[in-house]
Amino acid sequence: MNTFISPKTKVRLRPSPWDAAVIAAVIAAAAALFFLLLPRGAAANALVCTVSQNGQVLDTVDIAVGMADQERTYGEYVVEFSHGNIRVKSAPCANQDCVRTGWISRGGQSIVCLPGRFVVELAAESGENDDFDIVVK
Amino acid sequence: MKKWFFLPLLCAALLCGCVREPSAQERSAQVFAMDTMMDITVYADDAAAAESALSAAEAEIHRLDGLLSRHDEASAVAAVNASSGAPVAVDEEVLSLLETAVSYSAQTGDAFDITVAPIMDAWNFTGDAPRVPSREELDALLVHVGDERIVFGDGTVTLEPGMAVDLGGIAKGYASDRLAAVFEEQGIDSAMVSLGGNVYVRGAKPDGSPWRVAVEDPNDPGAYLGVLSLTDAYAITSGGYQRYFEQDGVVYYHIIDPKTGDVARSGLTSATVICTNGTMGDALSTALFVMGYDRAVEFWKTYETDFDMILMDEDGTVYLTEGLKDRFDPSAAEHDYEYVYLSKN
Repeated sequence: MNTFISPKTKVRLRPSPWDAAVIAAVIAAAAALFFLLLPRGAAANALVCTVSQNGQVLDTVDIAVGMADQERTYGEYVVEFSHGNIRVKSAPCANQDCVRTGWISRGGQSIVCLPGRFVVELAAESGENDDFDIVVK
Repeated sequence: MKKWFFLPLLCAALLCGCVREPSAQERSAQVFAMDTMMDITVYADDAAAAESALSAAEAEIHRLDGLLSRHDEASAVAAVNASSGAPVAVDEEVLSLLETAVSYSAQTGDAFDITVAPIMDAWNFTGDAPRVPSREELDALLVHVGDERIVFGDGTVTLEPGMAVDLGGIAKGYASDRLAAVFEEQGIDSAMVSLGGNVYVRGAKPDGSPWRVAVEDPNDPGAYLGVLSLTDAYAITSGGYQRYFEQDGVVYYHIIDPKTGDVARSGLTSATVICTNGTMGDALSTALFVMGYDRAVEFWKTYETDFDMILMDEDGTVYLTEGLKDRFDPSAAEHDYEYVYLSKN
């Protein structure tokens, strides 16, 4: 069955309150989804410390504001956490390079003990650093 | 009203497209070899391809470590160092790398020399007890330095008694070139590699944008001089801030001037080379550091192969070559340095 609009039918062009409500709903839904699907913005700046040995992760520590100062022991290594700074406090290696590295506090920094294949790394919690992908040094 | 119902879904779908991560599969590995830590990350369309490439890359690094480490008695380089005047048969790959190293030595006016091995042993930088050799000791060892005296035969290498080679200044660069070949064989178009801080980036990032390579601040490791935007490039730094020791309040770092046997104090705190050949970049970064600012700039202007460089001097001035003008962003620097661009004209 064919339908048609009579030339005499009036087409309403002025927006109604319903139109405004639908447009507002579209904008609100889109905005909500946009922010929900974004990579974690605020959290991207938070740091996580990963402690590993021989490629095996021994520990992951969220470096949160207000985190209590503490020492953690991994075998013969002692790692100190203090006010967002991290260092290898003591290590069994002969050259003590890892201990002499001192404190690290920024994403992308690491402390490496080559003889023990012991690594302490700091990275953005999101898994990516905000400003770069890799460091030449 | 039904047609309005689909509008939010349409907008959401469009916005999902804006923020969704690329679908490339990422695989990473940490490798301990060549007396350093290496990080390799590859991207491929499927997980199996990424894992295959990663395994091949790791195997290649361990193969090269076994071939080129002079501290491994079973290595080809250790065999060469045992020459003591007699020809030693070496495979084509090692022979070629030794010849390449000697050619860089000649091109850089001996600012880079692989025969500093006896001097490095005297300093014992990589050992448990580094020390400062006396001037007399260094002078006695310097008679064994000079890679122009390496004799290359048909598949053989001969070193004079007392001579020894150390490929530490070129091996990681060569390894990065070999990884590029491995990735090519494996069909990998996107990868990033750090071989103890020597960076190789393959292609672009999976989203098509350039890799962002931060250049470490030699005065404040963990801070950065700026960020390079690179694709298909090698970035290699030589600096005294990575491996050093202190004695009586003096810092001694591991970069040696082959002419004096002493620590290279050229007025530079770091020299970074950005180029398309890892072996060349590794050798040149060391050589430029040893040369110091004036000789390094003259070398850059006249060298047969184009490359870019970043030099930082002890006064805190950062010199960059003109090719980096559109590829270097200093806004990430935490310290107030002066940045000066160098021109060949």
